[in-house]
Amino acid sequence: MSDPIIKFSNILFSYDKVSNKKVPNLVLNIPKWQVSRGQHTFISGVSGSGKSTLLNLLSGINSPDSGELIMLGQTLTKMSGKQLDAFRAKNIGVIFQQLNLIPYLSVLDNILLAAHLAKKTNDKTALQNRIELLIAKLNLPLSILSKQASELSVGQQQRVAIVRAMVNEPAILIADEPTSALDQQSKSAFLALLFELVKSTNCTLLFVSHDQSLAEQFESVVEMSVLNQAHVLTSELHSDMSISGES
Amino acid sequence: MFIKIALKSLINRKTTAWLTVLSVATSLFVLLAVKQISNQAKTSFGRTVSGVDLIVGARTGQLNLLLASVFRIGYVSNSVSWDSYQTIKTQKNVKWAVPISLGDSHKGYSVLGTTQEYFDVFKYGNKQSLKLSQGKVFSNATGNVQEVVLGSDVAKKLGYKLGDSLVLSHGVGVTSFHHHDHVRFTVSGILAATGTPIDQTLHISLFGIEVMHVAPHAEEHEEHEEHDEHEGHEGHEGHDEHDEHDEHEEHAEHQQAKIEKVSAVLVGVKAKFASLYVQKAVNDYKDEALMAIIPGVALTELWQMMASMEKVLLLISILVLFATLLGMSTMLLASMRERSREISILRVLGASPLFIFCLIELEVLVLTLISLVLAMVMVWGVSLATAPILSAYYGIFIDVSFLSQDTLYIVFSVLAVSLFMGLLPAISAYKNALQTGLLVK
Repeated sequence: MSDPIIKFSNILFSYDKVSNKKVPNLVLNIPKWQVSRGQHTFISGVSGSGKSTLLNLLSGINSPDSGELIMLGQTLTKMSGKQLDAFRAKNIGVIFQQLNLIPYLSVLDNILLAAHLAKKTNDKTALQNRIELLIAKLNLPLSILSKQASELSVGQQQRVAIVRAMVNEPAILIADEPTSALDQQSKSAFLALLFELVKSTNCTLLFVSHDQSLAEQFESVVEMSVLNQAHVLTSELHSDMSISGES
Repeated sequence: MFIKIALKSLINRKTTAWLTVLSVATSLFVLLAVKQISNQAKTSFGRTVSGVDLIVGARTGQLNLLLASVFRIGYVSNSVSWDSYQTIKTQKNVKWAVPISLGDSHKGYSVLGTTQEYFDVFKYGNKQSLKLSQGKVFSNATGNVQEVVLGSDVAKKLGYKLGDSLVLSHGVGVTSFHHHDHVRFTVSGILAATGTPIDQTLHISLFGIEVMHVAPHAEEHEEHEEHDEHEGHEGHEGHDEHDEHDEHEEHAEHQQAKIEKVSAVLVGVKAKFASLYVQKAVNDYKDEALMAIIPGVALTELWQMMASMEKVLLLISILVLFATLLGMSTMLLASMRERSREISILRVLGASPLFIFCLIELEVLVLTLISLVLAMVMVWGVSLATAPILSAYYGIFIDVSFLSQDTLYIVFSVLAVSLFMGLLPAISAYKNALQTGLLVK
């Protein structure tokens, strides 16, 4: 495998930093984790296992309390909020479970908004071509671009979400249970399209789901309870300091 | 893109957005209208009379005399006798004295009886003289008694041309029960527009007034009794006058001495400070209870009276505006909950919290700007619609242009205040943006 595109070392994260608890209620403790470029990783875990927090750290919306997080050779833990926003816009595509699009904007505007915020290109025709190509790859009609996002079916919305996530040609694509709102048939079709697209662009895919049946299609499978050592550390700390704590 | 999102977001919530715009626009309209009317009233009152140093009338309040003689509002309850007028005229400091007689009307427009000199000495605005746009002024010669000179609005609104003949009515007001239809007046001249109550006035000679009040039939007399506006005032002077005229009916047109009294006298003095001497002399006049007012002083008093009311109105309209701006901020704050999804999408796409803060402020700006434009259009429309009413009933001549310096101040302060109020929802959105995760569910 090539160089790691994501590198976690000794990452600690808690939400209640501002509260005056002496021992923070740790949510995430990842001593070491690496993802290689182009790798497709399946991340699974029960709710409360720290999946969401992990994604927030990966996208730079939250910053860890301590440790070092390097992505694409850049140290996120040393960046300012503004730099993190710019980094996210340029390098990371995100697909949510549902409601990915701003409902009152047209499909095209939703996609253009992502391009606008990434500030990657000024070439309008190149951008237009790229969007049309992506639309075609995802088996969507071109006429969909002028529709209001709120007019689309859930399946269409999820596929437009892929277009929007991929329009800036991100190095990393994060998909958070993108298929959970879809029926079985569209789920397979959606996954097939997603894989085809990330393979052709050599994009690193992080796919979060609790649906273990999907795991076999991925090169690497990460279980949150293994990755996240927060519980271990928290209970150790709690017993050390003899503070009865919430876990 | 940024502006597009703000606009589309507002369009998406168009019902609440429009309601907000309407409420802000309405309160802005109140504020602008109050400011507009008070400004215009100030200038229009100030320009109504100039070049007249004193107004002499029977003893009453100085505002009463000013309003009646210059603005044609209200009545002069008592009059000045012809003898007193002659005395005033011959005072050594007096350059000129022109009598005016009020109390009749034509289709709601006031009739002013005066002499030919009135057109030379009366000034308005910045010492501008009255000008005729057509025809000529009636002369003092008794032969031209039944001629009328129309103010520009009277001619325009009622469609009179030179040579038209009309009948005047007793009393003031649009509907009069008594018409002096035995005497017809012929339009001899039409004055150019002045933007003062002159435009709303019909001018006839003093003799014309006398001729008109000579009742040809006995039964009309009774009507006089019922509707005589002078009725109830001591001595029923009006009646005595009419009785007298009855006796001399056939001579009335030819006897100058028959003018017994006038409503007020406009006086011009020879030297700048002489008006004070003349004022004192008039106030001390033994034979009749008279008073003299200096128009400028009376106007100032009038204005002071209005100014306190203006301040109250202004304060109320500012408070109302403040309340509606608070309402706008509440509306946006309430929308933040439903927009948390939107905010998290924007964040994920790489929008900074500042971007989201500015987005909300931009929405505030757009709402306020639309409201401002709407309010100005409303003020403009309402001014246009009410200008004739204001000038006819209140002597306020409004100029239908609303981009005064004051309006600009209002526009900028309203924008500043609304942006300040917008801080509340914008900061809430900013915080939301900072705390939001990827996974708002």
